[in-house]
Amino acid sequence: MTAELDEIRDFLDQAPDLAELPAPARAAMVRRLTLRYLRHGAAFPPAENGDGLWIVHTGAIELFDAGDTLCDRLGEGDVARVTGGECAATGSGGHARVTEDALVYHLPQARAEDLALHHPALGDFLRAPGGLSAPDNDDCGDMGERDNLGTADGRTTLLTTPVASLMSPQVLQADAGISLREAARRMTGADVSALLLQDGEPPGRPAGMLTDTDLRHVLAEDIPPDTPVRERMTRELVTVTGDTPAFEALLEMARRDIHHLPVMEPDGERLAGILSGTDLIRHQGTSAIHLIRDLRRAGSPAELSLRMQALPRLQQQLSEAGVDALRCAQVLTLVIDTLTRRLLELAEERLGPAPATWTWLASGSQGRHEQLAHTDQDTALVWADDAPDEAEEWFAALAREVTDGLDACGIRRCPGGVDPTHAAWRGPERDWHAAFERVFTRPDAQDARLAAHYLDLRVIHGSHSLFTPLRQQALELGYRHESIHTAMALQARELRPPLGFFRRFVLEHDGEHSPALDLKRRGLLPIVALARVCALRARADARSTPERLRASAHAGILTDDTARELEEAFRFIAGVRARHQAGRIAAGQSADNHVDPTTLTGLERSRLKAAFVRVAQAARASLGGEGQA
Amino acid sequence: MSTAMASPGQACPFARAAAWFSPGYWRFCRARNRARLQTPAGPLRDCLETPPPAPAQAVARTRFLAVDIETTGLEPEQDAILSIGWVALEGTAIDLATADYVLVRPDREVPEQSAVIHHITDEHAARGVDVGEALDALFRALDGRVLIAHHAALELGFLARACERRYGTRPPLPVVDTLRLAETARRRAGRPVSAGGLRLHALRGDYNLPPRRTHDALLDALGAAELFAALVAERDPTGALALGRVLFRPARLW
Repeated sequence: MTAELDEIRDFLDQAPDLAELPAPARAAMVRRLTLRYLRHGAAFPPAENGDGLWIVHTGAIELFDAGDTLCDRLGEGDVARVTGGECAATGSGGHARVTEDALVYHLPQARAEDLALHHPALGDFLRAPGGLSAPDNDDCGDMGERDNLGTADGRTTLLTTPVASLMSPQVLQADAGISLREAARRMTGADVSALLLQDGEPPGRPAGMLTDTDLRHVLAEDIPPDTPVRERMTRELVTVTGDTPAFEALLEMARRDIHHLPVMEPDGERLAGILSGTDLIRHQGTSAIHLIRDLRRAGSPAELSLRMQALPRLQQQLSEAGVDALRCAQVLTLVIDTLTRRLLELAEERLGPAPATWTWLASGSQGRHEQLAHTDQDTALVWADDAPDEAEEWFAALAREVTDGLDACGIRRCPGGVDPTHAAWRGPERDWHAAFERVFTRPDAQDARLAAHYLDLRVIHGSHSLFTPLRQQALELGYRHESIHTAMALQARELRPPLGFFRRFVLEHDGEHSPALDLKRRGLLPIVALARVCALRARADARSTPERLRASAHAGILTDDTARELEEAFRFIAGVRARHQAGRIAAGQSADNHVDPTTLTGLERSRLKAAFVRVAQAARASLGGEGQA
Repeated sequence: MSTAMASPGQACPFARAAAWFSPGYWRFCRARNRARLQTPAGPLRDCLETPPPAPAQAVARTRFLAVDIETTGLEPEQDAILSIGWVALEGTAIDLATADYVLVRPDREVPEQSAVIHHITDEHAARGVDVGEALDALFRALDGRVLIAHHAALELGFLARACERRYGTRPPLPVVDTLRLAETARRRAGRPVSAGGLRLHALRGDYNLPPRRTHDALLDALGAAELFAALVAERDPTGALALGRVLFRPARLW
C-alpha cells in the first residue's frame, strides 16, 4: 500500500530552493520528511537532532549571524540547512527564530544521507548549497527546468556549433600564378565567392585569398585581366581552426570587416575548408555583422541613429539564440564602439582637421566590454600637450557633437556627467596625469568613484600612444597607494547585494522589502567593484570583470575558488539580466535592469540568492581586512 | 515498529504511581484489560497488550497516530467504512514515512452522494480490501500509540462497531480529539465557538496551516495531525504539557 501524498510532492516541486533537485529526488523526499509546527517566537531549529534540511511551508523564520545581523528570512518554499544544530546560513554563533507560526518539513540528516545514496544530486545539494555551476553532466535529464534558464543546455546554437560543421569543405584552390581573368572564370564556374591560392610549396597552407570584393576593386581600378592573381590577392590571411565556435568566427569577421575565413585543421598547416558570412547567415545571428557594416558606412548621424534602432533587437536575438550574456555584451560593446568611431569620424569631417593628436576613451561598462542596449555614456577625451591654446574649443565641439550623436542613437547621456562636454572629462595629457596623480595618491571621499572610472578607461578611437602612459600611471599609482585601495574597498563594500527573496519581494539587509531587484546595481556592480579593487592590488592590466577576477586569483589576491565562484555569480546574474531584457524587448518595452521577483523561475530565485550570498561572503573576506593588500 | 518507545512506567515512575490515584485511569485500564481478554490473538490483541501511557506523561514524549475514517454516512450501525488513513507522530513531530491508508471494499451499497464526496467509484471500491483486513492494518500501526482524530466520536463509533463485528469486542482506546481541544482553546481565549468554525479546514486557517484537499482519509489524518501539533504548540510553548490534559474521555471509555 502506498499512500498518495501528491500534495506535498507538488509543494516541493514548487519550492524555489528545491528546483535544482531532479524531480525524482524531490518525490523520494516526501516519505522521508517529518512535519513540525513551530510557534511564533520559538527558537529554530526546534530541538536536538535538528540537523538536515528544513523546508518552510507556511510562516516565516528569521536567521541572524553571530553579530545579530539579519542574514535571511525564510518563507514559503525556502530551505534551511542545519548542521551541528546551527543553520548554514547564519554561520557559527548565529541564531534563528520563528517570526510567524510556521509549518515546516524536516528531512533529518540520516535520512537525507541515506536518500543521497540513490539520488547523488541530493548529496551535492546537501553539501554545496545553491550551486551555481550548471549541472552539465547531470543525468537527471530535467531538461524542462534547465530550459527555463536558457543557458548551458545541449542545444546547438551559434555559440556552441563548431565552425567545422558550418564551413564548406570543398575549397576552390588555384596556383597564385594564374591570371585574374582565369581566377574569375574558375570562381564563376564553381559558383564560389572566394578562391584560395597556393604559391609554390608547401602545398598545405594557402598563401593568399581572392574574393569577389577584390575582383570588384580590380575592375574599378582598371587592372589588366592578365595580371597574375599573386599581385592582387590578400596575403595575410586570418584563419580559424575547425573547432572554433562559430560565434568566435562571427566576432572575428565583424571586428575585421571581412566575409571569408579559411578554416585550418587543428595542426594549423592543412586547409580544412572555408567559412563565409553566408554560411553564418544560414545559421542565424549575423545581424551583428550587418549592423556593424551599416554603421561603418553610414553617412550622417541621422543614418546612424536609424541603424541603431536595431540594437535592442540584436540583443534579443543573441539572447534567444542562447548566446552567453557576457559574449552578448561583448558584441553590443563592439557595435557601440563602432558607432562611436563613426560619429567621431563624421564630427571630424565637419569640424575640420584636429589641432592636435587626440584619443577618445570609454569608461564604465563600455570600457569593460560589458555593455548592453540599455546603457548610458561614460566617455573621456585626451589630447596631446603640444596642442595650441585654442584647441580646447575644437575638442569641446567634438565632444558636443559626439555626445549628442550617441544620445540620439539611444546611448543616453551619463546622468553622472562622465563625458567630455564637461571640462573634467576632457583635457591635454598633462592635466590627465595631474588628475590621476591626485586621485590615486591623495584620494578624498568622492575619489573612489573617479578612480573606478579611470581604471575602466579604454581607447575607442585615436592615438593609443596618448593613453598608454596614462594607463600605466593609473595601474602603477593604484598598486602602490594603500589609501586608494581603502577608498575603493569602502566603495565596493557599500555596494551590497540584497539578502535574497522573501515571498514576492526582495529582502534587504534591514529586513525591509523592495518590490523589484535592480540586477545591475545590486547584482552585477558589487562584483564589478570587488573585481576592480582586487585587480588593482594584483597590479593587473585587465578591464573585464572575469579577467580581473582571474588575474586577482593568479596574483593570490583572491583564492581560486572565490574567483571562480564570483565569476560564476557574475555570469549567472548577467544571464538573468539578459533574459529579462530580451523578454522586455520582445514585449516592445525598453530594456531595463529592474526585475520583479515574481517573474523569476524557482531555479533563478534560488541561484540568485546563492550568488548574493557568495558575493557578500567574498566581499567580507577580501574587503573586510585591509591588511591583505 | 521502532524501539524508541520506552514503556510509560519506566519513563516516569511517579506518573505511574500518580495514575493509581486517578479513578478514571484505573477504570479505563480495567476495561481495557477486560477487552484484551475477550479479544482473539491478532493485531488488536497485541495493541491492547501494550500498556496505555500514563496521563502524567508529557505529550512531547508520547507517540500518537492521527487517524481519519471516511464513511458512507454518519451512522455506525447503517453506514460503511470506505477508507482509513493514518500518520504517526513522535510527540508533535509528524513522520510522513508512516503515512498510509487503506481503501475498504464496502460491505453494502455506496449511496451516490457519498461516492461523489469521497471520489469513490464502484471500481475504486472493488480494488479495496475487506474491512477486517483494514482494521488489522490500522491496529498494527496503532500499537503503542494514542489515537488522534478530529471529531473523534465519529471515528470511535465506527471503530467500535467494526471491532465488535470483527473481534467481538469494543476496545477502550486512549484518544485525543482535536475538535474538542480546539473548542477548549477558543473558549479559553474568549473567542466565540460556532460549529462551522470548528471544522478542520476552518481551524487550520486559524493556525496558519496550508489548505489541504479534504475528504481524503490520508490527507484528513495528516490535517488532524498538523492541527494537533499547532494546538499543543499554542497551549504549551515549553513542551511539558501532560498527556492527561489533552486526552478525550467519553464517560464510557475513561
